[in-house]
Amino acid sequence: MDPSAAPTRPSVLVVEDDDVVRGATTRILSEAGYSVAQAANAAEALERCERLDTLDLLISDVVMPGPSGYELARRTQELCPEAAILLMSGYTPTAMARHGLDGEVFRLLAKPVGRRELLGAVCALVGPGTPGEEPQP
Amino acid sequence: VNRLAALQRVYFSAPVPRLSIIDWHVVAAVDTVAALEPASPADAQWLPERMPEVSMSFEHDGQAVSLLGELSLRSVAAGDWRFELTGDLEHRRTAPFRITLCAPIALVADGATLETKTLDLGVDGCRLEAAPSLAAGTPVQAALSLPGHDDPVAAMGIVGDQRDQVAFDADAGVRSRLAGFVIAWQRATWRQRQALARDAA
Repeated sequence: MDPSAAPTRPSVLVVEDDDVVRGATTRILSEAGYSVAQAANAAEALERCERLDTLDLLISDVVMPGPSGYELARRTQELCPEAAILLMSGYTPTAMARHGLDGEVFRLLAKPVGRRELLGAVCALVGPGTPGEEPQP
Repeated sequence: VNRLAALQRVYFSAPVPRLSIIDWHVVAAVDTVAALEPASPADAQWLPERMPEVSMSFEHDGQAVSLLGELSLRSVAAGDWRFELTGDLEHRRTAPFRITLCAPIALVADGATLETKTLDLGVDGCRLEAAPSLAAGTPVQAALSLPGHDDPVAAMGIVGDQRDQVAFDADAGVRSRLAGFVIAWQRATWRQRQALARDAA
């Protein structure tokens, strides 16, 4: 079989300052077949963006040290216009708006995010991790 | 209570025999309260919800330390076990207990507002990502947002000698809200880590 004919797995970059949440998110997505890179903050994420051949999806926390998830999403759209954006936050939209952490229309998941919800949202944006398969709950 | 560290193992001697065979871990220690998690939650389900006059022991620098207090289950649904000192209240915790938390915070001083984020948070105050351009000792009005809450915590504070620190001068209500949040956050973090460790095993 020609390896070049093998379907590519969607590439996902997970950005989260909480190492437990980042690790769990990465593991869930990897087990579902996605090609996952991770970063602990926006600066690290942008470095990774520049090194990645393709980026299909950025998943980012909103409130983290340094630039916010919204700032990272805007910058990512400039660097990788084809990448979909999915934000996650434990803060309510009201609380984030009070601190100016809003303004863009991105898909936002409320943390804590369960496995089924995460895989459903990711699949809706970039398709299943393993081509032809729907995510299992 | 100052000698208690997060995740420290503690044990009890008490008139309740089942209590003394359970290992517990400290998830947070605030004022006169230590929030605890049983090593095996199933073992704790048969305990009474309130056990006064128990002795909580732990090791500190190679020595055994014991504190007298009450162990109670504040919320059955949340599994919120807490040990509260009833003996020598001078043993209450005075050392700051901080959690690592990036939370949006607005500081108002002299009519100007600084939007920044916390790097850690406790009942006593917080460390900021950006040091305010204010002199040490400057009073500030802080509005701190917490995960899952629409309404911010509003508290007066003082800029510390290290200007990335703000010490809260909070009333009892605010202090209680912060203490409840810190304990709940630490407990959730503990359980999340335990679940991940189980998954990995």
